[in-house]
Amino acid sequence: MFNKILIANRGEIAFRAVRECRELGIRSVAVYSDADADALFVKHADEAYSLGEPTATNSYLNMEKILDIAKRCEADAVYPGYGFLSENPKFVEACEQSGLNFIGPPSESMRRGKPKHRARQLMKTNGIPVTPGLDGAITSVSEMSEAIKAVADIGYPVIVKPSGAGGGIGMKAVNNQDELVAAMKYAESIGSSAFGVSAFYIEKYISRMKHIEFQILADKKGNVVHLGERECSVQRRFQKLIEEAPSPVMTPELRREMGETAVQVAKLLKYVNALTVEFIYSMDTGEYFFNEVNTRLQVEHPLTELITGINLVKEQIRIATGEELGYTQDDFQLRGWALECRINAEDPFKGFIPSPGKITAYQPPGGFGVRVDSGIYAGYTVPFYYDPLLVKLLTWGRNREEAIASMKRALAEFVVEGIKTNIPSHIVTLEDEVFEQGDYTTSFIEERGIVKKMRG
Amino acid sequence: MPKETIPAPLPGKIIRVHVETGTKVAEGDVICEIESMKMENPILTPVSGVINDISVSPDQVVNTGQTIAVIEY
Repeated sequence: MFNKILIANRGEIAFRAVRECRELGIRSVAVYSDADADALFVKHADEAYSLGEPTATNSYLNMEKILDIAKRCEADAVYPGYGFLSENPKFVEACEQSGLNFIGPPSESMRRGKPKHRARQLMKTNGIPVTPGLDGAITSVSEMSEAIKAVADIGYPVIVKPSGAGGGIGMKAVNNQDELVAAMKYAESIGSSAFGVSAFYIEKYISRMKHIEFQILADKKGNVVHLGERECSVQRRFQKLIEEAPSPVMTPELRREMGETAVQVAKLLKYVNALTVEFIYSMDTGEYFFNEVNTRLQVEHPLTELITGINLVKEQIRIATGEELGYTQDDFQLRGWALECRINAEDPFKGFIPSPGKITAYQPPGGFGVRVDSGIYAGYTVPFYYDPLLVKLLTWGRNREEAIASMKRALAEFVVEGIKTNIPSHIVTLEDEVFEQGDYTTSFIEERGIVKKMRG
Repeated sequence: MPKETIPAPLPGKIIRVHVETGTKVAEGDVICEIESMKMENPILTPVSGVINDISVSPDQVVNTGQTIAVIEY
C-alpha cells in the first residue's frame, strides 16, 4: 500500500480522496490555490501546500508545481480525481518519470481512447457497435459528393460534426440533401475559423436517445469487470444535471450484452483502473452504439457505489498498488436504485448565470438513504475560478419510486443561503411525469419546458 | 443627457472588452465578457447610446455591483 498520496484536485472530489486515505491509513497531501485556502479538503488533509495564484492554468493544471511538491513532500502516488490533469497522458508520463504512481490508467490506454473519431475507428474494426456513419473525416469540398452518396445509404436524418469542435459547436442535424450540403459548408467554415480544422464527419442522427454509461474496473493482471450502468440523459447544454442507476430502460439481458461490450472496449484499450464506457441508446429501435470513453472516475460514480456496495475510490487506489480485483463478474448483484442531483452555484431564475460568493447558511439534508458529497460549509466563499459544482446529493431506495421520494424530501430540506443554486430546477424535474415514467431522452429539459415551469 | 451605469451582475474576470469611450452602442450590444465558473457571460447594454466611460480592462477581476461602464443616452 502507498504511504502518502498527493491529491491533484479540489472541491468535493479532493475531500473524498482525503477521506479514503484516512480510512486506509495513508497520509493525504492537498495542493490548493489561493482561492481554496479555506476549503474543506485543505483543512482535513494531513499536509497541505499552496499552488499560489488561483487561475487553473497556474494552479491545478500546473504539472511542474504539482510534481515539485510531490517530490518535496515524498509522496509515492498522485490521485487525479476528474477534470484538471486527470485525462492528460503527458501528466501520467511525467509522474512515471518522477517515480510517482498515477492512480489511473497507463498513458497508452488514454491515448487509445482519444480523440473520439480514432477511438470510434478502433471499436468499429473490432466489432463494437458504433453509430452508423462515414468512416473517415471529410477534409475537402471535393469529397462532398461522395458524402452525399454515402449518406443516402445510411439514411436521413444525419448529424454533421466538425472534427475539431467541442461542446456541440457547429453540429447540425439534417433531414435531406439540401440541408446536408448547407450543413457541410457550415461545418467546414466554422471548423476552420473557430478551431483551425476544416475537417468534419457525419453520423446517423439518433433523435430520441438516452445517454447510458457502464462503469468498468480493471486490474494490472488483466481482470476486467463491469459494475452495471448509469443513465445521464437529464442534461442542459450538454451538462448532466440528474443521473440514476440502474437505467429505467435496462433489462437483465441488455445489461449483460452492453456490459460485455463495455468490458471488451476496456480490453481493446488495454485498460487498467476505473473506466467509463458511454453508449447512445435509441428509444425508437432499442439499439445501442459506442459513443466514447472517459479514462477517469466520473462525477456521478457514487451512484454505482450505492447499488453495488463497492467503494470506487478505494478500488482505484488498491488497483494502482498492483492488487488484483479479487472478484469476478458473477460476484456482483445490483441492489436497489440510486439517484443523483448535481447542486450547482447558479441562478436558475436568471438563465443559470453563475452564482459564486459567500455561503451564509448551509444545512444539508440527511436521513435514511441520503448521501451528501460536498466541499462546502456555512461561511465558505465559493470561488469563481472553477466549475459551479457544490454538492452531489444522492439518494438510495429499494426501488426507483423510493429513491425519487427520498430525493424530493432531501431537496425540500436542503438549505443553502447567500448564493443561488439550481435546486428549484431539480424539484420541477422530479415532479415531471415523463421523468417519473423513466422514458425521458437527452432533449428532456427543453421538451418538457422545465425552466419555464419553474418560473410559472 | 441622462446616464446609465452598468454594474457587474456577477463576480469574475474580464476576458474581453468590445467598446471604448465614445463607442456608439445599441440596446443589447455586448460591452464585455466576464468569465465566471468556467462560463463566458456576455454583458449587454440595456439602452442605446454612447459609451461615456469604460471602467474595466481585460484580466481585471470584478465583484458584483462594480461599475463596468457608463452610457449616455
